[in-house]
Amino acid sequence: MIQLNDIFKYYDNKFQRSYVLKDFCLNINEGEFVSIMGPSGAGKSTLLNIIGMLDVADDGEYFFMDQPAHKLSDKKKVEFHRNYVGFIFQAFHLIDEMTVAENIETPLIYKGVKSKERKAMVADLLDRFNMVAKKDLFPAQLSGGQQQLVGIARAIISKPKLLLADEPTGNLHSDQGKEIMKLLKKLNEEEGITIIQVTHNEEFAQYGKRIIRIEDGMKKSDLPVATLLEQV
Amino acid sequence: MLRFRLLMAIRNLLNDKLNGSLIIGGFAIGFTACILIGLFLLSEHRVNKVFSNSENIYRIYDAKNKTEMLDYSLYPKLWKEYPEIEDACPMEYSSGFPIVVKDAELDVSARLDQIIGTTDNFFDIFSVKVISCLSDKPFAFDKSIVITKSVAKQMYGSINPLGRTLKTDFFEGTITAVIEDLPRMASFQAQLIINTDFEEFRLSQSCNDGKCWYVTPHFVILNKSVVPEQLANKINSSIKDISVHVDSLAFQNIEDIYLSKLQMKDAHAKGNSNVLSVFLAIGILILLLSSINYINFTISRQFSKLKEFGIKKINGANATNLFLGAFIEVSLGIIISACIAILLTALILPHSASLFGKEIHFADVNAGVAVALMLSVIVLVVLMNCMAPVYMFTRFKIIDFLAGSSKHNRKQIGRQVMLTFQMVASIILIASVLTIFKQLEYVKHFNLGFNKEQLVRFDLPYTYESPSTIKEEIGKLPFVVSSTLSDGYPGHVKLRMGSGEGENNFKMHCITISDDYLETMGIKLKDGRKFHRGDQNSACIINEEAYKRFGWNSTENKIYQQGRNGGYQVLGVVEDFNTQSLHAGIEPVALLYRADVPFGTLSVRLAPGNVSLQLKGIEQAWKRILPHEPMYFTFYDQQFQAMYQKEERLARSVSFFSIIAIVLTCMGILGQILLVSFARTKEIGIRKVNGAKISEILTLLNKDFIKWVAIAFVIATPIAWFAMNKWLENFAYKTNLSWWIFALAGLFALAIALLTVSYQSWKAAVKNPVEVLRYE
Repeated sequence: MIQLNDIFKYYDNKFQRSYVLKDFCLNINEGEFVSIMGPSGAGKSTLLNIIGMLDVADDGEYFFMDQPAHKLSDKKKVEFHRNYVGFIFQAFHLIDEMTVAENIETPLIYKGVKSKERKAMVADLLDRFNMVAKKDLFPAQLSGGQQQLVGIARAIISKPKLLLADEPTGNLHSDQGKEIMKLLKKLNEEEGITIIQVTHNEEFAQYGKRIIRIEDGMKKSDLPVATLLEQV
Repeated sequence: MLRFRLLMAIRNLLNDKLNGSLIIGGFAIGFTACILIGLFLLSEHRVNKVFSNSENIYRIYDAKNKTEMLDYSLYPKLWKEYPEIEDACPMEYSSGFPIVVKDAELDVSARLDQIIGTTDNFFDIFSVKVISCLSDKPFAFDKSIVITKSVAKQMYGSINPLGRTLKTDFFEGTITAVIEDLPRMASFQAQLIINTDFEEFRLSQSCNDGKCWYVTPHFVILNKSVVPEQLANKINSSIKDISVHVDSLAFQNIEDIYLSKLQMKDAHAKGNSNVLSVFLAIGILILLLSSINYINFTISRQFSKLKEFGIKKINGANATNLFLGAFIEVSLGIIISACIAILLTALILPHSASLFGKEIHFADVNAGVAVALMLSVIVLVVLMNCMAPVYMFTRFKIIDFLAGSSKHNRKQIGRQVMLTFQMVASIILIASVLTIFKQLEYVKHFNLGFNKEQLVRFDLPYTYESPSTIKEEIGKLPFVVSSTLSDGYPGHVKLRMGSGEGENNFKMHCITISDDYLETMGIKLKDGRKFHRGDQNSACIINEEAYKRFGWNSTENKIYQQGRNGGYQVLGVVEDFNTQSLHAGIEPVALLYRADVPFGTLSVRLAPGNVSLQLKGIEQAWKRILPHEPMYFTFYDQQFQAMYQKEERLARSVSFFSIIAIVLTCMGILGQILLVSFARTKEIGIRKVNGAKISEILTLLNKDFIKWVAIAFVIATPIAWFAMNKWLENFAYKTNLSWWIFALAGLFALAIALLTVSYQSWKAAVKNPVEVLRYE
């Protein structure tokens, strides 16, 4: 589903070029749950942004579902965001002025779904996440875990193929984090959504099926969780 | 979708209630001011356009002598000779010299001010509606008089006025028609219209070398296809065959009379195109200021919305989606402001008289033009405001948002230019308002040269043979300090004669007076002696200006050689006093001491006391002597006050709008500072962590603004000086433009800036740096 060939990302300073990603290759199949780990500044978030087409690689090829994503126009990228991908962030990034239901509804509006259908889909999802009672509250009135739930609901409402999570549990305490990770796992297993998450938490990384470690813009290791467990 | 966006926009506005309502309210006030000014300008430009044929109605005038008074016999000749002239009429309009009109049988009278002398064609040319009429034409006979509906109502009430005889001091005639009042939006009005086909009804004559002929203004309708300049040339080339008195005829469209720069002496109401430009400038300024405020508000709004942009973009919004959202939010605020402004305008419009000196009705302006103008202004403001979000979109980088940095450029030259502009505007306005008030105070307390307090003037009927009787009767009343008779009075000189010296010829204003004039008026004698009984009909007193113009060393044995055989012996010199308003300067004046000529004016100095009781006492005396004459009186101080009414109203309205503009500027500066201090919060926090004191931070933030005030002051002072100098040129007596006016204006602007800056930066400075830096 995702194929990265020789991806480079760098910034030019006055005297030298500093690489964020260096000759990075990656293959992810549909239905995988991948955790990306590594120290701060290793290039994890940049990698995720390139996969999510929020950022562009300076060199290399990126194929998304066999389409050359590095050649896509901005218009096509909007289509991609609308139909294939959902994002979850550490800081939740909910719109403060919108209620829970409206936040969840946002992607559908841009996708052009009819009002009635939207309402039904939002109601359905709220029901699944046990948040019906909170639908008219504003983000500020919710706990962190609940806000991230809304964030996930918003990310999956338009039934994306790919879910990108940038430290989804970073702002949560561990109980809430576990809840969120369980939910992600369930989404991966039951609905077959491909998930790529960036995390610092070793325990949460093991909710995925495969862990990629990055250091200084280069892949250090890429192993299935099962093998890792065996090593321990 | 649209409903959802509207809901979001409303929620966003409500979110920031204080700022939002301040900005929307401010914009509404500014917009109201603009609408009012716009309506005023439109109505001023519509004067005389209310006549259905106005674009083809022209006045003929003598371009060389700058007069509209042409030989009465000219228009029939022109009309006959030139087929381009479709219709023509003489129309002499007189206003400002009230006459008393009485019914010959009934005991009713009225003091009428607006009189028109014309012919039957007048009613066609100006599409006057005739309500009732004795025959098929308004002027049925020679001695025909037409009155308007309101005069008919005032004089006769429910009695039918047709066929009744009216008498005045000058003529007598029969009412043959009643017409609708002329439209309000005309430069002339009529209460009484007389038939000048009848020679005795013609109002004016011109004389030369002992030969006299009737003169009148001419109004014609030209064929649509005629170019008036060409026709004028054509007529002038062969004018010799028609008239010996003129050789430079020109046409002036009736629509141009009101705002014309031709300084023609006529009674038509005049607007002042300079004043209109002042209003236009203020209106544009207010619009600019309030738009700048609104744009600043929009920009600051959009900065805080960067996060929302990012989230929406990630969730699949494209540029159109984002722009539409911002557009709806921006225009919603503007539309709300516009609605409030329209409401406010509707509330203020009935009181517009105290603002503009004339009441503006919505019906006075061309509604289509007004609405189109307003809509285009709204669209323009919306577009300008939409530039902000568009600008943000083009510079917005999703990666920056994801990286969590909110970089914005602190050194934004555009914003500093706007701030300087606002400062310049406020300094100019403050200086202007100060100057206007200084001038008004100066004029108000200017010594007129005579004592105008408790001095009242009565109009005597011209047919009254022995005015000294009434002077003596009224003089006997206990509360009358003194009284005097005159023909002409300060404010209205009826007689102007030459100086009587061939080589040093100038026009002398002459007032014919009787006993006690100097005492009653409070005019001070500087040199020479007062009149004695024996001086009657042969002596005069002149004022200093005349004395100066004559170039005399003393008044001994000097004679004013004019008016009668042997002239008038000059007995003395009095201090200068004003015979006109202060727009005009001091004129040379001669007070001619005469016996019982028909004096038209009785001036009475009252003792301090209950004025209305005193007037009642005078009225009783009046009724004893002149039982059939109505009594009309005017106080001199009110009369002179009335001359400055226009200036005072102008000053009041200019200051009113200036204050609005200044308040808007303050709001704008406050908004700018909010933005700047918001952008510098982090800097302030870092400085504090590193040990800066609050006072040091205040100095730091204020320093920038002081620089901009200084620049604004340098730009504003010459502009204000130039503008005010121009305005003062309207007055013959002007206050000087003192340096302190500009200094004060600059200080005031500085104070506004410092106060707002200090308050805002103090708030930023006392914040706990931990709080500030935590989220960075």
